[in-house]
Amino acid sequence: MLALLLASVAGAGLVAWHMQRRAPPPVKLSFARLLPEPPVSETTERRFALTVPLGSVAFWLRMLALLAALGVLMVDMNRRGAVGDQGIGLRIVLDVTHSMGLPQDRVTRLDAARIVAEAALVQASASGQSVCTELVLAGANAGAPGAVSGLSDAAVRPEGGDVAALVAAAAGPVADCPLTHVLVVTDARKPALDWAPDGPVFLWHQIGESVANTGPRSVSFTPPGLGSGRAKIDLVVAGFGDVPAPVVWLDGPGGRIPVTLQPSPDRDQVWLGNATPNGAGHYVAVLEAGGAYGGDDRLAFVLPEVEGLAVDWRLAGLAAPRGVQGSGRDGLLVVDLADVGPEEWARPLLAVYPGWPNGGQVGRIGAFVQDPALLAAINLDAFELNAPRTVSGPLPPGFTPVLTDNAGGVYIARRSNPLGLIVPAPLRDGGEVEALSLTLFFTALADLAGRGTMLPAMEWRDAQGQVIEGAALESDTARALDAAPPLSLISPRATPAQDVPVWPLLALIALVALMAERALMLWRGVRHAV
Amino acid sequence: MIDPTEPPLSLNRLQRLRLALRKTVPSQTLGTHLRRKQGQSLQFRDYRAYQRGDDIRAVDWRASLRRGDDGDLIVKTFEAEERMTLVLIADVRPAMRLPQAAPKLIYALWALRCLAQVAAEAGDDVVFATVFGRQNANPLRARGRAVPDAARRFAREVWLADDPGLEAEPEARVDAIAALLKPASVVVLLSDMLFADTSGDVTRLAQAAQKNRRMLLVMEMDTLAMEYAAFALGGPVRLATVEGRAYGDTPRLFGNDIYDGLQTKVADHHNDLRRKWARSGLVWPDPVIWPVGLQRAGMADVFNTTFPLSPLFRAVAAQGGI
Repeated sequence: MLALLLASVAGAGLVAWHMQRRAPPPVKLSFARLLPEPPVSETTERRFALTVPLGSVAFWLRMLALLAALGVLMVDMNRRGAVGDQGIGLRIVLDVTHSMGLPQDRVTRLDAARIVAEAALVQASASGQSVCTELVLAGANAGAPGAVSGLSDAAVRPEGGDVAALVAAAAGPVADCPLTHVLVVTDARKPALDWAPDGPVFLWHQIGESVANTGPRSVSFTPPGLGSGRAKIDLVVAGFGDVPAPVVWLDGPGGRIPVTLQPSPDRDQVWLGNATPNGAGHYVAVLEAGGAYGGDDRLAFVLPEVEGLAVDWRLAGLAAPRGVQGSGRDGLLVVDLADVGPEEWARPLLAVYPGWPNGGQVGRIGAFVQDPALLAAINLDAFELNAPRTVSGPLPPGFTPVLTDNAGGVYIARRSNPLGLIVPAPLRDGGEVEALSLTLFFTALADLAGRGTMLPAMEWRDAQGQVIEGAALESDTARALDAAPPLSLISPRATPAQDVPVWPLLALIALVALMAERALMLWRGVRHAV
Repeated sequence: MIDPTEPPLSLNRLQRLRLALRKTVPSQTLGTHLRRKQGQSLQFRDYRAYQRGDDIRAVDWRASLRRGDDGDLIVKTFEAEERMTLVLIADVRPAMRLPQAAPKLIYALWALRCLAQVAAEAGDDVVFATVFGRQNANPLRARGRAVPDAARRFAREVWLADDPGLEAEPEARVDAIAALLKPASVVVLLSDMLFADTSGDVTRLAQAAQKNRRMLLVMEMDTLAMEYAAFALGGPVRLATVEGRAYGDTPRLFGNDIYDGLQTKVADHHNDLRRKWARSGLVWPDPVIWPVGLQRAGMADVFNTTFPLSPLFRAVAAQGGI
């Protein structure tokens, strides 16, 4: 709207300027001094008589300059650039991830890739057409395009990368070299790509023979809790190609710890292992005979110091279990529902109410929520036969029913933040209900006190101890080797058209119109003077 | 860069010409021009009786014998060869740059350079000067082969000088010229002769230029018809202030009566000047008239057809020299 208003005002101003009729300049006569006094003209002409400027070339030139200048400010458009001449614009994407250092026919995969790239450059130069080339080194991430003279200085980096970085490097923005061909030289397989059909010719040259390899993929740590008295380390080892069963041990505080590995029941070439750590500290999972690629044979990680379970135990009739240490006001509060103070509702808590004995009532389970952490250990048929009383009165704020009877009474209620459960108090009468009540109570306690599984920070190292970032991405050295595309495809091709902004063209039009207008006026002035 | 003051006349044609002045005009020392007085040239002038002091080699023995017995010897006398001085004065009033389509000043500078070229061929002296020019402008003097280059520089300086504007009445500055008239043989004034000589300085200069049997040649340029026709039929026009004459911003009407009145006033003005300037050496032939519709591109043709045939040029230059 503003653009339209501005253009209208400017255009109207220009038209008004041209619709003036200016008085001609006074005539200069060399004999004016001797001229008899001429009579004054009686007819008067209006200084600003309107005239239609449509026949004025200067008007149209100024209008063109004005519109083009407004276009520069307001038009945000691109135009399809002209298709370039026949030539070659070659981008070489070179994989410099750690696996490119694997041996390949007495050299390394990187050396072999360099030979392929140089052959491509020779092929491009042999075309006799204009050639522009650029080199992009891709490791964990795609680098910036550079000169191909950097090919000889390219070196393997201590990092792993995936094909996404290679594809990003191949499809990166074009700078000064209009691309007609993109050549990716890597040891990774070509992924499924959605490459533009009218884009540059895409060549994926895979190198490196298929060789078997094994490597630890991940590690997890389960600290000790109510359900398990000891901490545990779980390790996943993956194999690629025809590999024997791996052998892994842990080097850490207290010496070497053997890891028991079992084949995964649902995944081929994957072994699951576990071990008991010797407390907190630095550990290294060492894989023996880890295959062709050595960068992923050692997985280092750190186990944190884990404190004991802190519980504020206030149940008089039931002793706290072993492994639970008392705490002040910060730990889990285990208390009778009737004894919860007003300010203690904000703490994580396990509250019990007197559900058993139920006085001979026969309860019927009504609606309930799937809560496997809490109800998986409970036989609901047995529960229904020995159903406790429901919570008397309304539930505290934040609690929602988990298990109710058919009359709407609540047996069990849960709060998510902060954690909280309300369950029937355990009954210690030595009868059938005691086992049920204790199972329900301690399942609830374990659920609230559980700390889950932790994923420690981990990094891969080679045999010399050098850290290899993301080495697991390089482990699959046994992938199939695809046939290399012929380099003869690197032949002259019309450089693709590109979208270019319109405003420089509009600025040029405005400039040319102004120059033409000035030249016209100058020519008229000279002609008038002559 | 094209020099607008470069005359369109053929240089080869000019180089075949020499100054041809009256033999009585003043001159200087030895030169190429034969004079009516006795001198040392090879041109026979007269016989006369031998007088004491005459060179004995000048005696014409054969003529003396024919004379008889009275014993008087007869000697031969020869004409003198002396150098001329040509003074070229250009009227450089801003009005001389009019009409804009075909400035009179361009024609005047072309004529000036042509005359200077003719004088240079015989090794004569040339003095270049202006009237109504800028203050403290000294005339330029050159001799022989240096004359064409001096003429070119003088013409360019005049043409490229800052235009002081038409409005003010120009002031005649002739003092520097008067001092150079003494050795002059002939003075040429290139002007439209429309200036006002209220102080009488120009008249005094004209009179001084004719003393001692010197010649004053006036080349008048007439653009009345051409300038008047360019605007008079186009309806009312406003006139610019020129040389102190202001017409205001009111459009004026022009007709034949105004033109007739103009011619009358110009003729009166010229007659007045002629009367005041009239001495024995004044040569003021008919003017060079600008054709109606003349443009800058056509000035060269007009010059080529008018200037070589003009009375002034014919009065000054002759083929082969004298």
